[in-house]
This record gives sequence, structure tokens and C-alpha cells, in this order.
Amino acid sequence: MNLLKRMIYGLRRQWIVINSVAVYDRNRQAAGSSLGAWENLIGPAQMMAFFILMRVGFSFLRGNNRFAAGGSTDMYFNIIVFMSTGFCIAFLFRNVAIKSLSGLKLRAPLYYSRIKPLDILLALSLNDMRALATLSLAILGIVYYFTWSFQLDSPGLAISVYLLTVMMALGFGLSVVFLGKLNKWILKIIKRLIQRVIIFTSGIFFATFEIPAHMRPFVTWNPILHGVELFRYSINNEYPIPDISLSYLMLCSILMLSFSLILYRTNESLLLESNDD
Amino acid sequence: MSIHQVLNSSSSAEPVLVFDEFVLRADKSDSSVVISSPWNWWLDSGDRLAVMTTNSFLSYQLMATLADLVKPVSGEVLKRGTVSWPLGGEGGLDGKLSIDQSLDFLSNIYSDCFEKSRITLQEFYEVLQAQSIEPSLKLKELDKDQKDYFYMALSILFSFDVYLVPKFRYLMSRKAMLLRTLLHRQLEGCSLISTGGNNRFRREFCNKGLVLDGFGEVIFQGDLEQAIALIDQKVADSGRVDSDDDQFDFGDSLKNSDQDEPNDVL
Repeated sequence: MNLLKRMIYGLRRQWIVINSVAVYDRNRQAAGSSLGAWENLIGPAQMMAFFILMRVGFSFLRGNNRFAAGGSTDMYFNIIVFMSTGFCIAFLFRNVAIKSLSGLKLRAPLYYSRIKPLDILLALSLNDMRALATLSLAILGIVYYFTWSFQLDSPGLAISVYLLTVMMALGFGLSVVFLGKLNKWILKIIKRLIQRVIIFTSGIFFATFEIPAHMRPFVTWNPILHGVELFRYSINNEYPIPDISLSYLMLCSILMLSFSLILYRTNESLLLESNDD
Repeated sequence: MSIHQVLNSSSSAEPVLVFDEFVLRADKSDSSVVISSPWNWWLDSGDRLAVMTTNSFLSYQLMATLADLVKPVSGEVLKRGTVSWPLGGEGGLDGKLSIDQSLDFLSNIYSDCFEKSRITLQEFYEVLQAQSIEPSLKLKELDKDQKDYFYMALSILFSFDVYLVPKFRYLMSRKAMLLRTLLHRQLEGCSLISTGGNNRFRREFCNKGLVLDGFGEVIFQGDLEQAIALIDQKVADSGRVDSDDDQFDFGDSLKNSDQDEPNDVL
């Protein structure tokens, strides 16, 4: 009983720390931007609008003048829903994981011994998760309002996929945060490489079933694609997802997070103050 | 009493800090130089210890490890109570935050220490008002004096079991008279560890002394006046003048960076 009480107390305290650091970061970002607290939402929204325009532009160039998803994805989704589902999952990973490549940018709170580097990573992820979840819900709400066709076939699957992506992103972020001390040019190259891999193989612009079967292995290795496609499938269960598996996504998320926690546990001191060197 | 008896002790007068086979670096320029023998001593509840040494890097290392900013070379410090951040330190907060936001942040993180504080929020704001510090002001808008005053007042507002005092130049100044009164009140029944060379501070706030040689060997532990006499003698012998001013700033490498690349997508 005592152990249980201690665990609950510990978890509660950890949550308070994470939430406080998340508010700290939102406040400082809001103070540094003319958009104030909306900065976190408007930034990704702008980027998503750019992506949607790109996709619509390509459809238009192909001779398809309808503002639809283009190609066979048309049969299952409105373009806005199609793109925003891809964007919200892939960019969740991108925001949480890739930011960590430059090391911890929010370091000052580490001055207080109750705040650990892991709390900061979790707090920043919480902010990204909230922003992108709000954005997805808002977009889905707006689209459903205008088309009057609400559809969310498997809400449980949608939530699971979202959380698995967060876990995987956290795991990846924790594993690469230690690379922050590498040469900045090497970091830049790694960062750009990973950015492009995420953008072009995560299914933001395409559906897996549109790709010829013999080409699929070139993209299905990427667990983010599985997250994106499963998220779309959870909205419309008729959406075909060949070679996509929830167990692969789960395996990647659990392995990545476990590995990163072990790595963090043994190397935490590298992220603390190094004035003594 | 041996260190193991102290560790296993279940009496009510438990030590608040126990140094167990604790080893620190003793030379800034050479990471292989460590203290000559591991520390196995403890700080009892209510003890206010002035740690005195001619090695300022060692003082910094001690405070930084107690504040969990740096890991010791080996061994550990067992903490049985809450330990403050280095008193008056300017780390931790962000210049873009307002006084109110900073206070909210810390009162959430250290909610237990905030609730048992002997200083009320009303008193805290009155103390700030004395230096024309308004709650809506952003930290970057404060001038140097106001910053020193604010960070010191903020550290004193929370009630910890052990206070870490690496800097006291500002605390012993005329401007901080009000803060000293509050610190006295907050320290009732609490412990303190200080490093540095201000005898006025030691006599006003400490009740025990610990003298270390340049390599961290404990050469005296006990009466404060004897410890002061001993360290003064050592300073005179070595011909070094120990400055009140600290040579190392805590949390210097812990700065927030705003250089993000949110639009670097493709």
C-alpha cells in the first residue's frame, strides 16, 4: 500500500513538474512572438496549408481541377482530411524527435534540481502534442461542419496510434538528444536528411495502396508511415492499408522508447551543467 | 558514530545530508585531480555549516553537486529533506517571463516548500515593492540591483530543509537588510551550507565550521570561531586573499536558446 501511495505521489509530482515546464515554455514563446500564445498553433497551421496547396497544385497540374485528394485517395477522403491526418502524425514525430537533435534548447529550468532533462523533453513534447492534436481536431471539425459527414470509425485506434507515435517520437528524441554536442555541420546534415526522409516516406502526400506492390518495401520500413496510414484507417475503415501493421508500429515504439530510457538512465549527467570542464 | 550507523539510523534527529564515500574534483584544469580522501560526514538538522577552503573550485564543485548540477566523481550525498537551489542564483528562469509567471512556475515545482514557508506572499510582494519591482514586470526589464534583489528574495520565499549559500555579497549589503531578516526567520530549525570567505556572514548565519585543505582533506570540523581562525591562518600562510566574490557562476551553461528552425522543413 505504501509503495502504491509513493508511486502515485511520485507520478503526481512528475506530472506537476512536466506541466509547469510546459507552461513555462508556452509563456516564453508567447512573450517572444507577435502572435502570442497562438504561435504554437499558427506555425504548424501555416505549414499544413502550404502542404495542402502543394498537393492541390499537383492535382491541378495533372489536369484534375477538383479540389480533392487526387488519384484514387479521392474515393476515401477529402483532401483536407487526407493531408491533415498525414501531417498531424508525421509532424508530431518531426517536432518532438528532430528538435532534440540540436540538444536541449530549453536548459535553464535544469537549474532547479527537481527538474530533470527528461521532464523538459516530455514538457516540450506535451506542447507539440497539444498543438497538433488541437489542430487536427479543429480541422476535422471544420471539414465535418462544411461537408456534414462526420466519420470516425475507430476512435480507439486513432488515440492508440497517436499515443504510439508520441512514444516513438519521445524514444527517438531521447536517443538523439545526446548528439547535440556533435559538430554543428554534422548535426545539420543528419537533421536535413531525417527531415527529408520523414517528409517523403511518411505518406503525407500519398497513400500506400497507390504505390505499386514491388515499390512498397522502400517506404514501409518507416514506422511513421504505419502511424499515418493507421490513423487514416481509423477514420475510414474502408481505406485500404496493404503492408501496414499496427504490431510493427507498436514494436518500433516500445523498442525505441525502452532503448532510449536505458540510454538516458546511463547518460543523464551529460545533459546537466558542464561548467567544471 | 560511523557513516553506516548514520545511514541506518531511525532516530528522530536524523542528519539531513549524509556524504557517503563522496569524491569531488579538486582542480579545474585537470579532471584527474580529485580530493585526497573520500568524505564520510553528515550535516545534522539545524546545523548551519560554513565550509572553508582556499580552493574555490572545490567550493564550487561542492555546491554544484549538492544542487544536482554536477555529478560527483564517485560516492553520493543522501538527502533526507528538501535542498534549495543555490541561494540568489540567477539561473533557472527566462528573461521573457514576468515576475508573476516565474513565481507561478516555482510555486508549482516547489509547492511543498511554498506551502510551509514562514513568509507570506503578501510579505514577499511588499519586499519586492521596496525595490520598485512590480509583479507584471518581465525579468529582462529589471536592472542589475533589482535582479539581485529579486532572485535573492525568491530563494528566501521557499522553505527548505537545507539552504545552499554560495554567494552572500549581495545578501550582506545594506540594500538586502530586509532580506536578511526574512532569511533569519525562514532558517529557524533549518540547516544551511555555505562556502566562501565572508566572516560577517559566517558569524551571523552559521553555527559550525568545516575547514578543508586545498585537496579537500577535512582538517577541522566543529566550533565556528576556531574554524575561522584556522582558515584565516591558512590564507595568511598561503599569501592568497580569498575573495568574497565567487569565481564560478552556477548554471552558467544552462541558458535557454531561441535559435529554433521551425520553418526548415524541406
